[in-house]
Amino acid sequence: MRVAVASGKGGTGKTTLAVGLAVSLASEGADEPGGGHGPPPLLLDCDVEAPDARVFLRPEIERSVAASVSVPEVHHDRCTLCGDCVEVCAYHALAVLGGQVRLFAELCHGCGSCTLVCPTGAITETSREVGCLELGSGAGVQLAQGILNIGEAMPVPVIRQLKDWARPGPGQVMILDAPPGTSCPMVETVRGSDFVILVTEPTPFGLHDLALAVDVLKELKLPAGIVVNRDGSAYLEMERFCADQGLPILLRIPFERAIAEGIAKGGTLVDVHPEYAALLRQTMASITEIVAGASAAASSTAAASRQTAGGPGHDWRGS
Amino acid sequence: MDRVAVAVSSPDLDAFVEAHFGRAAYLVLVDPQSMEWEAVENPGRRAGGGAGIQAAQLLGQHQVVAVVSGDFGPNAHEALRIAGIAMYRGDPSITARGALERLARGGLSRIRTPPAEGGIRHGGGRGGGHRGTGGGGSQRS
Repeated sequence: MRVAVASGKGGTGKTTLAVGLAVSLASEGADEPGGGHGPPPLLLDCDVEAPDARVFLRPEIERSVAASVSVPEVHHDRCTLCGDCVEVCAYHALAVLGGQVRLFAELCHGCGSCTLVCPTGAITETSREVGCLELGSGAGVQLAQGILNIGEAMPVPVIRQLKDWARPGPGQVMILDAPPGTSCPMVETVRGSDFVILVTEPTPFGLHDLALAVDVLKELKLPAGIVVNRDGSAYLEMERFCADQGLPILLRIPFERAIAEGIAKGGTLVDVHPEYAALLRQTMASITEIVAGASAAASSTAAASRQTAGGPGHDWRGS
Repeated sequence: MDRVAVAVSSPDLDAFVEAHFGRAAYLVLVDPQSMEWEAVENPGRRAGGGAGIQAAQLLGQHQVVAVVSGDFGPNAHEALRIAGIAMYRGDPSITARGALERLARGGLSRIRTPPAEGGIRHGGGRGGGHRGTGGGGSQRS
């Protein structure tokens, strides 16, 4: 199962939750004789501009590979300066300047359109390293992270390569920690997930950006549930929004100084409150149920078209 | 005919100089001898990224040898440098006409060093993800 943790707003607690879920799954059955069972969870830190799950998991890195994008190389001897490549480039990475076609490599997304349209075959592709991918283990969790080099502007290719490189083994739960926002890096992270957890906070800012994220997930046709972080103040607009959208509130993490202090010291939710491990496992269990219910519903939809409000998991509460 | 370009807010020689070259609404192209001018819309104005590059390419196609703007982004600087177009800093509180008069008197400073890396990139830049809350950038990234 692949579960992505996303949000609209930054700083709502995506990594806190993603790491909390991963260590809770890792510790499952650890206190029983014979230890845990099943493969360790795989956490993908897809926030490649600022991967920080490592701060909490302190992994030992076992493998590392380069992440790269393919960029055009213009062979000026064959170039007729027709400008077709400049025209086709959606990102304005090419320009005719000083009597030559010039590449602004940082703007290039590596789509290959220029190579395709060049009538004289003056463009070939070469690869440019923009970051790296790392795999390691810490706190019983397998961590794979993408790291975009400082100064580089394009996280998406690194995220795509990370997802392709670090695939979950049979029966392994994969949790993807998404970058904030609702643009391409977030979309690339959540794409292909079975379920998306949206972490929000009960504030107008939180709700504003949550609504944007919900719109994106609708577009992608991905089932979602809500985790409210820093809960405490009753923000009715947000409660109403979730109810109207049929979004289950899976868990509420209280606004609490002890949690803030523990995380500031590099601890996890479970380090601060060991009893959260069971709660977080329960959250994962209910997501598993929702996903199983959705796939069962999907297979029976053709027979009986049944209307459910935003997914079959409505009305469930984790705490 | 060598021409001088000024980044401006409206298609007029008496329009104010724009603060940012790549995002300027218009570029006025002026023959400094006759003061004949024409205004062209800046193709980079609404671009998701690489605005300054597009504007620089346009100037290169119009035999422009010098350009005045409040500021130039890193990509614009690089593109104009390659195109061999001299960059001059013009105060956004003066008009294009005023800027040209100052330029003729040697009263505008030429920009030779690119802006520091990590400087502000208008519209382009950091992948479009917005950390924290606020303006939901919707550019492709």
